Formats: sequence, structure tokens, C-alpha cells
Amino acid sequence: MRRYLPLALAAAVSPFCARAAAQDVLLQARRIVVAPDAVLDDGRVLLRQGKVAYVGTEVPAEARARARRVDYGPAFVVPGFVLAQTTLGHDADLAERALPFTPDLRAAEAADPWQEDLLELPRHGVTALALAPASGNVAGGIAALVKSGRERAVVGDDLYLTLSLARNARQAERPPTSLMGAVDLLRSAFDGVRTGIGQGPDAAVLRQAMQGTRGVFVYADNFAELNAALDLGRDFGLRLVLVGAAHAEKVLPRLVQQQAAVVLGTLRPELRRAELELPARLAVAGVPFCFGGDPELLRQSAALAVQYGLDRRSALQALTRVPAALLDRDGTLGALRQGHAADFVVFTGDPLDLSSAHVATWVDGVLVAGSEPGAAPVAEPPAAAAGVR
Amino acid sequence: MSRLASVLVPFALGTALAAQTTVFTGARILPGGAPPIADGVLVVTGGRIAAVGDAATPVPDGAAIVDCRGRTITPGLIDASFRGGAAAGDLNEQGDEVTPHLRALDSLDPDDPALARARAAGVTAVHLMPGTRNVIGGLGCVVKTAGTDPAAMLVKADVSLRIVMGSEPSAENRAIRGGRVDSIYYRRPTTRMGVVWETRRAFHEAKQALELSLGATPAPPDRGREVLQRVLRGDLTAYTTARSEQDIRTALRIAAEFGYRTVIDEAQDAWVVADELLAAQVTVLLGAPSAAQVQGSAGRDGADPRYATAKLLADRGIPFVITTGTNTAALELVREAMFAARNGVAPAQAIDAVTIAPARLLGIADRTGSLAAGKDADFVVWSHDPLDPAAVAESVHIDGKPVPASR
Amino acid sequence: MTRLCPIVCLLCAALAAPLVAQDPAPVPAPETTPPPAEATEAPPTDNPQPRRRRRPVVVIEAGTVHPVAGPAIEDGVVVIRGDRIVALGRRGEVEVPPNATVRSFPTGHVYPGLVDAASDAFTDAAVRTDGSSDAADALADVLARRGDREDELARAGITTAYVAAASPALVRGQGAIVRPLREGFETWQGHERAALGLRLTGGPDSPHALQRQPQLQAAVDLFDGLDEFRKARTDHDEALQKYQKEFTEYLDWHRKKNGKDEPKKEGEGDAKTAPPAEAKPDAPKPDEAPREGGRRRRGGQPPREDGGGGAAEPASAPTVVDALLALAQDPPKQDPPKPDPAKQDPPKQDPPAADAKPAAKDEKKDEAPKRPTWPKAPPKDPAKEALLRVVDGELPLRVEAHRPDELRAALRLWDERQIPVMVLERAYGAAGMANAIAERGIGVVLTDVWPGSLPEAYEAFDPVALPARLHAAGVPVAIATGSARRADQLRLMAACAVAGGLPADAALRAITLTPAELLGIAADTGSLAVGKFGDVLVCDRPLLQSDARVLLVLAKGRPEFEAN
Repeated sequence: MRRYLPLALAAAVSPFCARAAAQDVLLQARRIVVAPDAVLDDGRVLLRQGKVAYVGTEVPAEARARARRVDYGPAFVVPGFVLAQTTLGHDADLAERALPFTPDLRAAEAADPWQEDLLELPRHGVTALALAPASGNVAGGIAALVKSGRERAVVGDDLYLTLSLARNARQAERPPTSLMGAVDLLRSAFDGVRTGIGQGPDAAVLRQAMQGTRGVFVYADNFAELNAALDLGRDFGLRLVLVGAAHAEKVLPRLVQQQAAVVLGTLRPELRRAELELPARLAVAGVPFCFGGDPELLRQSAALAVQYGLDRRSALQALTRVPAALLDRDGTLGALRQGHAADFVVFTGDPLDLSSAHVATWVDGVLVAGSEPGAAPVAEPPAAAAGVR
Repeated sequence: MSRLASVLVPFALGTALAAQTTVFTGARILPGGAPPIADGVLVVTGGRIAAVGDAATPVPDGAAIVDCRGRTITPGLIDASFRGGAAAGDLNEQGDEVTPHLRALDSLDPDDPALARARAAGVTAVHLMPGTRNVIGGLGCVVKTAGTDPAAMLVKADVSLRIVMGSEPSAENRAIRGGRVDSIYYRRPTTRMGVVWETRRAFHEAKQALELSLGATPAPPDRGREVLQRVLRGDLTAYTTARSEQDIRTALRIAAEFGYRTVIDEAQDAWVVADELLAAQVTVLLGAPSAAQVQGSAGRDGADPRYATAKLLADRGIPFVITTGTNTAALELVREAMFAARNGVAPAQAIDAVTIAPARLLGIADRTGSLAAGKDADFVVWSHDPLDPAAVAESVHIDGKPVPASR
Repeated sequence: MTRLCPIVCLLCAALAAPLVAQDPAPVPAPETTPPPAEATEAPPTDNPQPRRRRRPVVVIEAGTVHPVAGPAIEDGVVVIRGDRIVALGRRGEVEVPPNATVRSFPTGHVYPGLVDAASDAFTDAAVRTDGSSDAADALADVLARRGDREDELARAGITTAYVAAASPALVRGQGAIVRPLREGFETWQGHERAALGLRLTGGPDSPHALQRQPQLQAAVDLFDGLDEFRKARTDHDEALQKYQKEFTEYLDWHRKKNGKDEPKKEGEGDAKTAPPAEAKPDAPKPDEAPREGGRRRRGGQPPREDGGGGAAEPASAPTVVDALLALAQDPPKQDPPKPDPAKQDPPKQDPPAADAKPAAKDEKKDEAPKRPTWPKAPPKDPAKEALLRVVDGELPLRVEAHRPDELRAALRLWDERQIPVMVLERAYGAAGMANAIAERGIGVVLTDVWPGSLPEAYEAFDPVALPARLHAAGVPVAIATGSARRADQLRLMAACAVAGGLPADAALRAITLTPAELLGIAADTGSLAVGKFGDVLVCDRPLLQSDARVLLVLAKGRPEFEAN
């Protein structure tokens, strides 16, 4: 219930939000993507109390009377994008450099609600994200759930645990300095918990990971790191999500066999072709994946993946449903089904075509970026105005 | 070329049908640890050797026949001290100088180019040990050189504990002499004495804990100490890297002092201390017998390698295995064997020193190292006798599957 | 000379090699391009001319043809004969030659081959030239080399690219226009020097405007002293002509006086020492016909000791050279050249015009005319020469300028120095001065039309919205990759520009016709039109959609990429 507290606060401080949240909204557009495999043409969505109260093509009678109509005309409406892992470029604040093993630290403590990157998120279509400890620690800590929009920030501080076998984690002037050292550190820690020697808050976090009640995100890029991560996952029964995973094509069979998921880094056009084609290969193999990293380039990453062979449906899933599921929030995020949070983004066309421009972003039934049809845009950073037609 | 193609084509079929039987006929077979067979037949079924024998060996019906006339077949070579197989730096845990419980296997990168090179040169299994930057580096393992999954490549885990004498473990350490101590390299040991001291202390504590644990109150578990105790109990062999005369003597002395079994790795100065080696009944890993000097990070250890060392060890009856080791000037393993043979080691013994001898030493002779029914089908088809300088590994087979011979 | 000859030939051959590769097997005689109109009307079967070598005809049929220059054609046909487009139109309305190879894409979309107005063609740092050297020469060597991503441009549908040397120098040399092929690149003959690059920016690392001022001023100052340079050159040209005249007179006088054979001996020694050896330096005058392979090497040749004369190369000035050749070949062994005190001219201090006077006087008295002195050439300066061509409008000036102050300096340069053709590169901060740029008719090449692609120092600039701003003001905007590694991104960047407000047809034009115009090659490529090269890109969907796949790329009618 903690997550609605900021909402209430927002309603209290902003008269605009108060109006918007109090009144029902009947959303209308040429195409509404409820979920990647359920698309409504000329559909209606009724927003009530920040949630989706109704989805369909017929307008319910009770809504007709009371709801404020918001008609985006020819635009596309898609569920708000979810970013399953990001540090918002603040790696230094999100990795405790003095110690390699800090599983009980919380990224929520480092989240600054007035951070500029956070304020920019709605413009990029991101409505929810997991702020994760950075890759500098072998065991980094616990990620926080953040919803974008101005007055709200951290709505959950107890998401997944991050581990790291990436080069970053073993380059500091402290042990471990080698992959085998990092693996051994983790293995002995998990072993300690299993045999009951390990105690204390860090052991408690590891225990939850081993019991499967807490997801484990492991930063790993190359073949050896990925293999080591998969070994750990297998030996200790972790719910494994690999982050980065630039060489994931080399461990594809193991990913499938262990039902691990992958959070890919930001795709950039200058990457190796194998890396650009990786999303398509993962989709074919049935490995759930999504994009992490830079929120500004989230949609571009998906579009690049589409250019290199990914089908549009999987690409949209990678932006919405998959990350919501990896955060164990697929009941409230990643779709516009009844009962889900009213988080959605409006584009002039298919969001996977880069020629489509961003029109508006709504979070919890409130417009947080862009414009309402026929209304002036919500005041936002001046640079953003140019990006909207 | 066309002959080569005719050799390769059936292999492609063989991989498609795992249980397919393939028979290699007409080759001279050096089975390893047994006399050569002039016109031999090698029958491979399902990744294992079904039969080895002379021309009279029955060929199963429906088997694919590969004509190997003019070729020589040996067991896949085994490199008992292999440098590579992991990203640089990943085999040396610099956080501590004594890390007996760390596993080299955890750093194994199946994609490592050194593995591909070794594979192409006829090496089918390597003994991968932690690096030489620590006094006690950790646990070694034997892996096949082809594969994508370390677990599948593994032949035997925890076969050795690497201990390093000499200058390498202290090479980059700095003594604390005031100033900011913001680096993990400000630490012991900085001298050879320090290296020996660290070794002795580690074993001393392990031994003490072992004696205590016989009493009523068991000591708190320590994974590193447990490994050392396995060495002390004789369940695990130490591989002590010692190149110079001084270091070899030290290695033997500490082993005798704590009563553990050791193998002397590298051992370039073995020709000086042959008597001691013989008396201690240790096996010697002779690193890169072709090298006129020790190159790489161990260059300043002061070892003085001689070409005749291998022959001396053979003549004195000191068991030895030829490896490529840490010397950056090392040739391919088969060439090292060739070099030993050209310097007086009997050809059969030179081949054994890179096949069955390392397999026995590492405790994997039940699976590989020689050609015998029931063993893994790890073998190499050579264009000439492997000790001929013109010999090329035409095809290399690991678990019955041909691996790309080139690259 | 005979010794040098093979070397020169080799050099020329090496330089020409990539050019020779331009017209390989299937189209052996590209010179005889028929007038397009005739070709459209008369397919080869009706052509009564017998035995004319028939060039292959490729016909592309597709659901939609986007000529860029005109409206889209539904159910269209493009007919390419040899390397040129000979017809274009709706299916049924265009006559298809019977023996043509017909490639049909019923749902496909056909575009002109893309034009990348700024690329590096994978030239790595090792070949990056300094400001003074000539990018084309360096590129010719590099482009012949093969890399593992060499078909990257062709498979992205790029059939033409402008390649400049990446250099931090103020004058960064001249860029070449290249044609990406299935394997590597070829330089476009006649466009080896397509523009002169000027780097009018300190890059993102020069934080303060005042720090940048000296560099900006230096760019304006570059054009100082050009008039003197030009004068020195024209003076030299005049002096050469004068020399030619006088030397002819000098020879004639001797010939007249001594009959046929005698003057040779006298003149021969002289001819050996100076003139044939120096005859070369007048070769690299810009307007002269190129030597073998159509390429000129800067710097000329060193003077030779064995002054055998340029026997191998018939140069363009016939009279003098013929005379010299005759002199040089006939008399064999006259080893020590006679130092003739009478003719020991004092040339060093005198300009050639001055020492011509005594010769004229001599002639009047019918005394032996004084042998004229070879006029001393003014110092070489390739940069100045290139700048002269810029000022004359022969060479576009490409100015890289990022920030508004740098851009203003570029505009000032345009104003003060009357640069006829200027193109701005990477004008990230141009949004605020779009009108000023448009007024001057300056084109803009934009790279990094991609969110988040600019360094932090340029945070204030919105690279995605910029093309729309410039386009709205009437500036010709080309979108380019800037790096061959991003070849695939070209169409994505165009799509991003659409999201930034650029109309879709303008976005398409920004990667085809507009860059071709800015590069001065719009007559040959950039759109689908009769008479242009058969540069064609076929996709399965509209080009700006993310999942559009490139199905076929033709360059000059030859397939350079084909999806399997």
C-alpha cells in the first residue's frame, strides 16, 4: 500500500493532479494496445482512481455521464514502458566500492526523486523502472521500484537482488580480482547460508534468493561470466536474470534449459552484428528478454532489434510485459488490462517505428508528459517541447 | 587435398549419427603405453573406443570406414600444465596470496583462443591450474579442449593444488613503507623467503587445525584450510611450481616437512637436483624442454634450462611428463615431445610423456591418454609420425567427434 | 629515364587500380551511353543497328516505386540498361524489352540507392591524414584493402558515400565520393576530390567560447594571401608561355644559322642540364589533362641526373617538348655539359619577365639570342590551391561546426570571403540560425540524428528535432551516418527525424536526393529518373519502418547486395 502514498501526496500538492485523479477519464484512440497480443481498434479505456477500470469498444453507460473524454484521435496508445534494470547513469552512487559483498544494501536509499534523469523519464515513454545497484560489487544489493512522473518516485524498495560477475566487479583494488575469486565468494556465501553458518541481514537476502522468493539479477557479459552465473543459478536454485549478456547467444541452450531471462543492455547501431541480432535469436529460442540501461534509448533499442529481425510483438513485450514480469509486477504493470495501473504512452504511430513521435505519457491516470488532445502541453523541460509535434 | 577430403567427409556423417560406428584402418597406431601397431584398426562407437588392434580386428557391419593409410594415430595429447583457457587475470586472485580453495574451473572460458590453438595441435585435454601470482593459487582441473559448457568439458575436478615457489608470487608486491596504503599490492610476500613463509604458515595452520579437529572441539570450518588438509591427508596432490635449483629443493623440503605428496612443475633445473628428485620419488613436469631460457614472468627466477634434461630424467628413471607450462617461448606440445626425442629420449617414451604419463599422473587414465577399448575416443590422426617435424594434426577427435583441425 | 619509366608506370597503375575496378565484366563499354530519350523509345530489338554490343537490361517491378524526385508510382517499373535507368513508370505503360531480366517484388518498395553524405568507409586512424595531404590519395590505398564488414554500406542500401579524412586539423583535406560495392569500395572517377573540409570547431572538449575564438579567426584568415598566391601562379603561367616562345625563337635562330645538325650539339648540353628535367613541374597545373589513369600525383618528380628527357610521356605543350625530345634523343654521348659562359644567365635574382628583355634586344641585332631562363615556380601549397578552387566555386567547402558560435563564424566566413558553395557538417547548434543559413543557400549535413548520441557538452542541442527546424526554414538538409559502422542506421535516423517533425518525404529526400545535390552528383544519382545511374534499393516495406528488410541493392544496374 506504500505505493499509493506518493499518489495521495501528489494529489494533495498539485491542483491539476487532484482534478485529474478525482475524475474518471474515458480514453479513446484509433488503436489501443492493451497487451502485445490484444489490440483494440477504436477502443475505449476507462481510468478510475489511477487504475484501468474498463477496457473495450463499447462505452459503458455509467461512464458516459461522468467521465471526462480524452480522445487522441489517430494516435497509438501502448502500455507504459517498464525498465527492468537501470542505474540512470549513477553507477558510482549505486555500488559500494569499499566492499565487494553487500547484498543487503538498498538502491532505494540512493534514489533522489528530484534527479533530472528521473524527471525526463516520461518523455521517453518509461512509466516504471527498477533502480538497481550497479555492477561494481559482486553482490550489490536490492533494487527499488520507481514510477516516473513528477511527484512520485520510489514506490517499492524490495525488488530483486543484484549480483555481478562482470569485469567491473573485479577491477577495484580489493578482492576479488579474478572471476574464480568472485565465483568463490558467491558460492561460499550461498553455501554458508545453506549450511546455516551464514547469519545476519545479508544471509537473509541470500536465503530469500535461494528459496525463490526474490529474483536474482546477475551482471555477466562474456561466455565465462555467463556460464559461471548459470552454474550458480543451477546449484542454488536461483530465479536467474542475466543482465548485459552481450554474448548470450553462446549459452542459448543453457538459458532455455534453466529458464533464465535476460536484460540486454542498450542497443547501439555500432555494436557487433551478433549483438544486434541477439534479441531476435532469444525470441526464437523462447528466452524472455527485455532492454535495460539508458531509458532515453529504450524505444530505440527495441526498434533496432526489430530492424535486425525481431518481430514487433516480441519487441513490444520486451518493453512492457516481460520487464513487468521480471519485477514480479505483471499484475499491475506492463498492460492496460482491468485492474492494472493506468500507465500508458501515446505515440503518433507504432512506437517501434522511429518515425512515430511521442505525444503523451500518463502515469496512474495522470498526464505527466506531453499533451492532452486540444490542450496545451504540460509544462516540462523546454528541450522536450521541440520533440513533440 | 582430395585425400584429406575423403577423410573428413565421413566425419560429418558421423556427427549426425551419434551411435554410428566409424573405423579407421591402415594407420600406424601408437596406442600409448603399449607397442605400436603397424597396420592398425581403430573402431569408434558412440564417442568411445570399441576396439584397437591389428589388421585382423573385425570391422562391424555398416561401419563407416576411414582409410588412414600412411597416417599415424595417437591418443589425444594431454598438456599437464597449460597456460591459457581463461581471460588474462582471471586465474590470479590478487585479493590474497594464499587461496587454496579457488577453482581454476570457475574462470574457464571455453572460447579462449589458446584452447583452440591447443586443440588444433592435437591436444585433447589440458590440466588447467590457477595462475602463478599466488603462493598457493588453488585447485586445478582437467578439461577437454572442445566444448561450450565447462561442466561438459570437465574430465576431473580438483586434481591438484598449485603452490608456487620462486619470484612470481612476490613479483609485484610492495612492502608497506608508509604513505597511503590504497592498494592491495602493499602486502607480503615481497621476497622468496616470504613466499616460503606463507606456504609454511598455511600448512602449519592447516595441520594444527587438523590435529585439533581430532579432539573434542572441531575448529570452525575454513574452506582453504580444508583443501590444505586434504593435501596433508594425501587425498590431493600438490603441484609445486619450482624452476630453479633453489626452488626445487625448497619445494621438496616443505613437502617432506609436512609429509605431503607433490609434483614438481616446470622444473627447468631438474638436471642439477636429479639425485634429490630421485630420492624424493616425485614426478617432474618438464615445462617446454625446447626453450633455451625461461621467458615470461618467471624469467628472473634464475633457472638455467638444458636441452639434455629430458634424457637425463629418462636415464635416471625419474618419472616425467612433458608440458608447455608457463614459458611463453613454448612450442606446441607435440613439438616439445619431438624436441625431447631429438635430444635423446626414446620416441615411445616421448610420446608417452604427453599421453599416458600425464593421464596416469592426473588420475584420468581410465578415460583418456591411451587408445584402448572403453576409453573416450580422443585421438589424433597425424600426417606423419608425430615426432616428425613435418607432422600435422590432420584431424583431432574428442569424444569421437572431429574438431576443426585448423584455426 | 628508361629506368624511371617502369616506376612511374607502376605508380600510375597502383593509383588507377581501384578505378579500373569500377567497370568490370558485364558492362565492358560504358562510354557509349545512348541518349536516354532514344533508349526509352527504341528497345534494342527494334534497333536496326546490328552487332552493337548489347548491354544487359534489368527490370524491377514493384508494388510501389518511390522516385523521390516525383510522386510515388503504384505498381511501378524501373528499366535499367547497362548502368543507367532508361525508363520508369507504371507497369503496362512502360515498354519492357523482351530479353530483359525481370525482378518482380509485388509488395516491395523501390527507392533510389541511398546517398551517405558523410562516411569514413572504415578508414581507420592509421590513414587519417593531416590537413595538408590529400584525402583522395590516402583513401585510394585504404579502400583497396578489404575488411570483414566491407559490404556493410552496400547491404544497408547505400550506393554512394562521401568519405573525408577525419582529422583534427583546421584544413582537413579533400574528401572523395566513393561507391560501396559488395566487396570494398571504388572511388567515383572525377570525384576523387569532391570537397574541401574545414574543421571550424574545437569539438565537445573546448568548453569556453573565448577559447574557441582564435581557431575560428584562423579559419577566416586562411583565405588571406590567396590573391597573392593566385597572382604568383598566373605570373608563373605567363612567364612559362613567354619562356616557351623565347626558347622556340632561340632554337630557330640557331637552326637558321647553323643548318640542321650543329645547333643540336650546343643546345643539347643545355637541354640536358636544365629544361627536360624541369619540364615536369608545369604538369600539375590544375586544368591540364590528367596523365595515365586520370590521376595526378602531387609534388611532381625530383629532378633527374640522367636527363634523358620525358621520352615516355607526350606532354601537352607540343612545340617545346617536341623540340626538346629531338634534342635529347639524337646526340648520344656528350657527357660533360658545356658550361657556356656567354649563356650563363643570372636567372636567380631576376624574374623571368626581366631576363626576357635582353633576348628581344639580341634578336633585333641578329646576334645569338640569349638562352631564356626557366622561370622559377612559385612555392607549392596544396592547401592554398584547394582554397583557390573553393573561392572559384569549383570545390564545395564543407565546414564542420557544432556550436552556435562556431556556426556563426562559418557564416561570417561565407559573408566575408564570398564562398560560393558551402556545406555545414554536424551543425548541432543550428536550430537558432536556421533562417540565416537558409538565406545564404548553405546546405547542412547532419549526423547523429539519434537521441542521446551527442556528448554531454552538447546536451542543450536536440539532434532529433534539428532536421525539421532547418527544413522548415528552407535549408537543404542531408542526413548522414558519419561512420561506416553506422551504415544501417541511416534510414533509422531519417525515421527519427520524422519523429522530430520532418515530413516523411523530406526525410527520404534527406538520405537520397539532397545529399546528391550537396555533393554535386545529382545528375547521376539520388533519385530514380531516366538517365541517372541504376542505383536502386528494394525493401519489403516502406523504408522508414523498423522492420523493413533490404531485399536487393543495385548500383549502376549491378546487384551489390541481395537478401537470400
